[in-house]
Amino acid sequence: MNADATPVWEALAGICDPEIPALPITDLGIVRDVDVASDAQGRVEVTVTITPTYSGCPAMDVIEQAIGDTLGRSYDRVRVVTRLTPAWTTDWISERGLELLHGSGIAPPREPVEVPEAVAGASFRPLGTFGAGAGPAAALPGPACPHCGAADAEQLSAFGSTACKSLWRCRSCREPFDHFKPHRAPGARE
Amino acid sequence: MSLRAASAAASHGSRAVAVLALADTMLLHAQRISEWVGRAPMLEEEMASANIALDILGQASRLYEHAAAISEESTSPDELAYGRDVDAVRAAWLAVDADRDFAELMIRLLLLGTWYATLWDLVDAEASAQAPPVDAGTGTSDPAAAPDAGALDPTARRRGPSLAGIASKARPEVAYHLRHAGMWVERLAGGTDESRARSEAALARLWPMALELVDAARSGQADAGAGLVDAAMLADQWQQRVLAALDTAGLVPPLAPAGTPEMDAAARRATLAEVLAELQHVAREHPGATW
Repeated sequence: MNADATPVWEALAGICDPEIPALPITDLGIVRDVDVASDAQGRVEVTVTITPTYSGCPAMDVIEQAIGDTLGRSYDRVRVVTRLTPAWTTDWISERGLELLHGSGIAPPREPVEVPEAVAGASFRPLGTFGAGAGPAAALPGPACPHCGAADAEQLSAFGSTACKSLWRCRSCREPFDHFKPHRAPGARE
Repeated sequence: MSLRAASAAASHGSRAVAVLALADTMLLHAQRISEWVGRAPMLEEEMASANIALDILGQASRLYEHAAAISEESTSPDELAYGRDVDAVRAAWLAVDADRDFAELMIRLLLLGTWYATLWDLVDAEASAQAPPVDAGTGTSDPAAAPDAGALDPTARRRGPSLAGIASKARPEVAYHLRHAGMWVERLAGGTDESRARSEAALARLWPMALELVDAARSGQADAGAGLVDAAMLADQWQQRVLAALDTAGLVPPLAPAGTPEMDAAARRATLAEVLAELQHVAREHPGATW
């Protein structure tokens, strides 16, 4: 980061993911690079490199638009570049981002996604260990409840209101909550 | 044209065909999965179908961007997805065929999802072997750090995302889909007599369609992945993974594929035309529309 980029980063920190309004895109870890350059006429061009969370995440278009609108007020030219690799992982969510998620009632990602070993040749969890939800939610060690803190949650649904979340219920306080799914390449370690 | 140039052109041609065929397969598969939204057996599966379809659609969309970028003709991702006729679309039949019940949705997702996962893994392994991974940071030497169609500035030179980049994004997504499909297949196959019978029937009907794709890969056909990866390896690894997953669920695929496909070429074409009519309807009704 060079000195010129600091105000850009500060401006970007004011933009939140529209689907997780508590979380600035800089804490989500999708802003990968900021470059500020000026041409001979002194016109300043900002290039912001972002990486999408999920391939089909509809929020990305809105985020790009917001970056263009926000920075366009202060700079002559704004370019938003999408970079796919290295792929985004929930490991890039900042510590502050994890706290913001927790504070807004979303359990932050806390453990690696278990790759379906059966597909690689080993075995799935035996029947009978599914959660009490309607679907075949596995009895994975659940996230702690963001409401009461109890570590006794059951998965209601492996898929939630957005691509990045699954739905859980605390067995202790009975409140349902979203869990930000841990997301990283198969085989990658935490 | 020199021999080398001719061979490069042929290899570029088969690569372009392979990319487009994979994009078509995923687009049609996403469309079929999304048909479950509104009629899934439970609310959780409505959400699952919508999310899985969206991921696969997103991956297809990146592939169309890549295809448009490497195309020798001037075209756009939307034109490729929504402007091609039934005879130009090269989707695998397994992705075009409609689910008859929930067991088919899940077994099809297991069969096709394993196909995607295997293919992405091979692309990823090849890319990693060629270049060490870039620091997760601000590296500018990243070959995939190319502006794609998402760049806001219309004067920016547009390039497409790299195949390795698409693969690295898709891998964790498809792994999650496969976990879901695998658990459902296991549960349905080990459930009631009814769910067991439906699982067996679904596998019996879909297995020959999967073998069509795998056999096409083994015979080196571009639209079954040859041109992107080592297609024989893709076929072998797919089979190993799928057989292991089915074995875990206590399912055995039919020994020999059915002699004659249940639909002839004309019937298949009619089915594809029907899905495309719905899929491409808005784009054709309002050409060039943006919102």
